[in-house]
Amino acid sequence: MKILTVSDINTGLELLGFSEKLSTLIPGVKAESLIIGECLENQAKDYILRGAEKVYIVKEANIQDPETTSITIITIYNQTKPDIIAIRSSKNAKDFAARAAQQLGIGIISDIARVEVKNGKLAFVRVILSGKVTAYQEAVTPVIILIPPGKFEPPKPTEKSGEIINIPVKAERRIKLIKIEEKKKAAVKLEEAELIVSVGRGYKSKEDLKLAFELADVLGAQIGCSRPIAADLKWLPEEHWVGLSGHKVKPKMYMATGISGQMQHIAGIMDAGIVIAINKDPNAPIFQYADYGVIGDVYKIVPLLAKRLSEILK
Amino acid sequence: MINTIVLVKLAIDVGQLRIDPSTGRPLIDEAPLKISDIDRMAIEEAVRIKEKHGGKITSISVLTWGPFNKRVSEAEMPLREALAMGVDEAILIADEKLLQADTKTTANAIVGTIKKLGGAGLIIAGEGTIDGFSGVVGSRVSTELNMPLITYARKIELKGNILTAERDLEDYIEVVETTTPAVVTVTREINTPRLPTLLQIRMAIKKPLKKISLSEIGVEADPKIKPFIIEGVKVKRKNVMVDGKTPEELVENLIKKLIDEGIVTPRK
Repeated sequence: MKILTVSDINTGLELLGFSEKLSTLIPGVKAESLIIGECLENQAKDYILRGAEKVYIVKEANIQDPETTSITIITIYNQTKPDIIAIRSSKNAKDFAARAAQQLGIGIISDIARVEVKNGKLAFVRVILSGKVTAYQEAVTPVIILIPPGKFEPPKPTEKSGEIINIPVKAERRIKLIKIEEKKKAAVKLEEAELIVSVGRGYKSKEDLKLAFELADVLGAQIGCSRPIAADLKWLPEEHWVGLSGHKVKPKMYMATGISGQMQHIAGIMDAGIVIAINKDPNAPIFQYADYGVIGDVYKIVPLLAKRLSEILK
Repeated sequence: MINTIVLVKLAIDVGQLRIDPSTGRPLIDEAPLKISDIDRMAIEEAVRIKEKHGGKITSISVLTWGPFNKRVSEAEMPLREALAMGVDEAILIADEKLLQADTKTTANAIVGTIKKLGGAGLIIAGEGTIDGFSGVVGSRVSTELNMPLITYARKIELKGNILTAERDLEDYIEVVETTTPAVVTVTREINTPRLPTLLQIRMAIKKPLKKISLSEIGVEADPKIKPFIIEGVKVKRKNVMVDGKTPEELVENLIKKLIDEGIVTPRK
């Protein structure tokens, strides 16, 4: 089974991790990589050391343009005929992957949670229905698989050789780009956080969130929040929003303070290590999804916890 | 004047989906259908364009959740709601072969219907649906129709046949322009959908709601992706409640757990 990874030069190594994972499940897996846009020779070589037998480089393409990227994928597909096209998921990736899939008449599976063998079949596992349901899906190959960032670790480099091939692709865009406005750079990258203290409607005002900030400070944790805090009340910018439509996080510890635990929030913490919930309502759904639950008022527990931890950690 | 097609998913109301506690199976068949959240924004945007430019709005829905007969009759309510919001005609593609359809089959059914209608000036869809959240059907439709595509629009503006949009991407906003006919997918932020008045809902009873099958549009189901097991998400959590009668006791016991789990390491 041939895997073609598609990425720019900076983000493709984890897709080789997906290919490595596949090789533990089914026999005869080999990987090739398509790099969209400029890259240096030694960067491409790193892909070979980590498992790609061939690296195709399309220098004039731009991964930020879905129109030309889809044409590039189709061109390379027709030359190399992979069974699985693995793409790192993003908004633009969904756009260009869907275009390519439709043009090629093939299937696509968005945002897999994992891949495994189930009932003797290679199953791509998705979490659907706002995080409530796991669906094991079987794919007719060729197929495009969209892989969320950070799902797989890049394979360790070993002494390997392979080919690096530059391929020109002609593609025109019909959508005219007028301008790009940078968003304010997110100060936090929740996806990468080790520890997260998260806040919800249990806090009565924006000012009161400082109780959680102080606790996070003691722990060296990042601040997360539930949907209402970011989307409705706008007490915190969206970069802090944890949930299905916000960020999906995987910290070693996730501490939900004053969060009731709506499904759409839980969907964002499926991959968290230890989940701690602090809530005064013993019936809050968050306790069903927590490893350790504390029934108590965040206004009492959170500052006390911060004080005691600062004494212990000093 | 511009004729607009809006894609409206009849999604499982996830808020009302229950998991059978004894078997762990999701009781999908019992959960009601509703208009997928972001598709409400797509409808609203189509109505605003119609108010400004005139024309007709047709909605197209593909019934992908069974049981078939129950869902066909259940589909009427959410579609009447779409009509009450300002859609002029609602089309439901209902066919047993479309139950659990993949995105390719869904897109092909939509495109077959659009061709049967004689095309459209603008096709609007939500960026994704609340039940499946694949986020690819709008893009597939544009490709099949060979129309320009703008995804993740948080703002659109139509002047003559020039369509300008702000694409809301992870780290930046892209302002782009194309000419109609075109396909646009919209985000939650684009507008606040109207709630239809009682009068509008009553009026909507008179508006046409058509049901068609795959054979009527000459499309065959050829699924590439097949779900073979669907189960409730198992959350493997310890579910331990921390003991303590006072906040002080609770905090001390929680800290013990944090130390046991290796989350914090005391300095002394």
